[in-house]
Amino acid sequence: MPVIELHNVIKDFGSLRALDRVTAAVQPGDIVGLIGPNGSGKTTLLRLLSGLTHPTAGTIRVLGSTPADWRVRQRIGIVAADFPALGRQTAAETIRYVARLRARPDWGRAADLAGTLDLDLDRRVAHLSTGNHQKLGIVLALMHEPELILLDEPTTGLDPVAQRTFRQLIFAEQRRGATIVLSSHVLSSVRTLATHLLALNTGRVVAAGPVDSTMDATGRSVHVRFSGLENEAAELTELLVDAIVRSGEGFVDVHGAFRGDPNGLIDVLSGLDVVDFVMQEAKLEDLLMGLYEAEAR
Amino acid sequence: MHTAAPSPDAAASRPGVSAVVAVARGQLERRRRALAAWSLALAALSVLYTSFWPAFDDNALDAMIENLPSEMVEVFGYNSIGTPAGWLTTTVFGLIGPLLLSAFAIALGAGSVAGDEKEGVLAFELAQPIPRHACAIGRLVAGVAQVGVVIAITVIATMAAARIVGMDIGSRQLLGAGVALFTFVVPWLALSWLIAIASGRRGESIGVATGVAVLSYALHVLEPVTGYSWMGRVSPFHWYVENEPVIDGVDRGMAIAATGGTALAAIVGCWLFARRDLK
Repeated sequence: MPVIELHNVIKDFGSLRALDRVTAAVQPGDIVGLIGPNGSGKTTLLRLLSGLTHPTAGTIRVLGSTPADWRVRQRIGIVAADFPALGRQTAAETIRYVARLRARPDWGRAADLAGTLDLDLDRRVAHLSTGNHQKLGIVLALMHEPELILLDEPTTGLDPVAQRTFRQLIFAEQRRGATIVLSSHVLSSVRTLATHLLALNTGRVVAAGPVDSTMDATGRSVHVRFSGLENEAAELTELLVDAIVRSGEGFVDVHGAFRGDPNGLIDVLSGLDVVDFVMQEAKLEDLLMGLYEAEAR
Repeated sequence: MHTAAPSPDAAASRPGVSAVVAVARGQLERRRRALAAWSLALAALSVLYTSFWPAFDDNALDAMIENLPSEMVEVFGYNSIGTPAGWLTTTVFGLIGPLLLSAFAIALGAGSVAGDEKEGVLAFELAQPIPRHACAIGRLVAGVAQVGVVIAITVIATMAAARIVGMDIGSRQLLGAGVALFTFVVPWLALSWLIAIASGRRGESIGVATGVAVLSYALHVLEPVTGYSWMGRVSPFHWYVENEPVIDGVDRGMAIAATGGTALAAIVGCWLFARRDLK
């Protein structure tokens, strides 16, 4: 049974349609990268999943319940984009407060997580940096070993070391059996962590599925430089998508995206006097830009 | 395929009363400084007014009152100002107490909901497994407790000051005045809380509740001037002062109305809060 099921979900704020007929499913153990530009509906979707807002239309099931059912949040950990203004409380007092609300004063795991993230629990929340706010949010979200973890821009303000620790924590949570939905603008982080992608644009789903197959659809970026004439590139350009050919000074440069069996490409290249050859996986940015441009057309 | 192990404490979430207590405790911990400041300020004002008492002799006050317009005497309750109970009613329990505490209660009701919502605290709490009604009622309970603490400290300070200056007033009278003040103030808290819980807007909550409170006071002031008795009948401030809290203590009808009104606000507020989006 999917951990999250969205069926034709619509969310309107007055005349603004923030989510438009979103249908998706998240399976147990998935790490879903929720991506999209500002205003695409990522945070709106996470707030719906958290039960903080209600859908205008459509149905949402989270761990078999409606998100409005507060009991389901016993099994969910949430990191919001902004940490609340909790005044003069220390990080330790905040953890104790949440433990009281959860009726689970499990200090041990919270302290372990804080240690892993190098978070000083004796400092007042108001005096913590953005990165340390995020660390505290991560501790609070993970301390009760949730089945589902919802993360809204969790790496904001984290230094590179903390980002790496965060990634290790997320993989550990996945190994434990947790399902994770991660919204982030840091696409390299999403690419590293996510097993699946859910891309939104203007409230609509523009791509969804396993990262590898979604990226394969975009193709690998290819650059070939060979010594010869431009007409010798014909067979190569037939294999590439959006091929661009430039020639000069006795060399021909061919750029494009390649999908499919690399052996076919290697066969063609073996017939050319190749000077340079670069083939790399497409970046998530390329995928997104392609999707948004296709959507705009 | 991965499968998550069932949470060992899935049934250990916080329903009902214990969640309300946890939320209320969090509110009291976070607002303890503001609570201490308000308590000290009100207590200091009360001590100040009480300590003025020996400076007046009955004849001087009576002579001053005789020269005032009768409407003014009635509005401000000066007719018994020459007695200890009348003096404390006119100053602490009939004027500055209800006015300042109403402002405190209105700000508290609005801030604890709409203020917390704006600062992300409400969303933070509702990310935990507690029902929305517990989050809302916990704030109302904490507000009621804070009003009670401020009044209790004010009453205790007044008792001490009265004893020091030799004012002839009983502790039972002051306790009764404190309970009467409590029944007057709590509905203002409930009103601002209700508007905040329904709208999520602090300004709207403070504006509407303050408007109703000021209207209530204005009707009380205008009633003897205009001679329209209905003005007094619809003014909670008039109900409160007319009863002379220091002399008569809490009015049973007003206590029932305050309790019923607050309970009704709590029920309606929880119903509305469960159905709206958090901002």
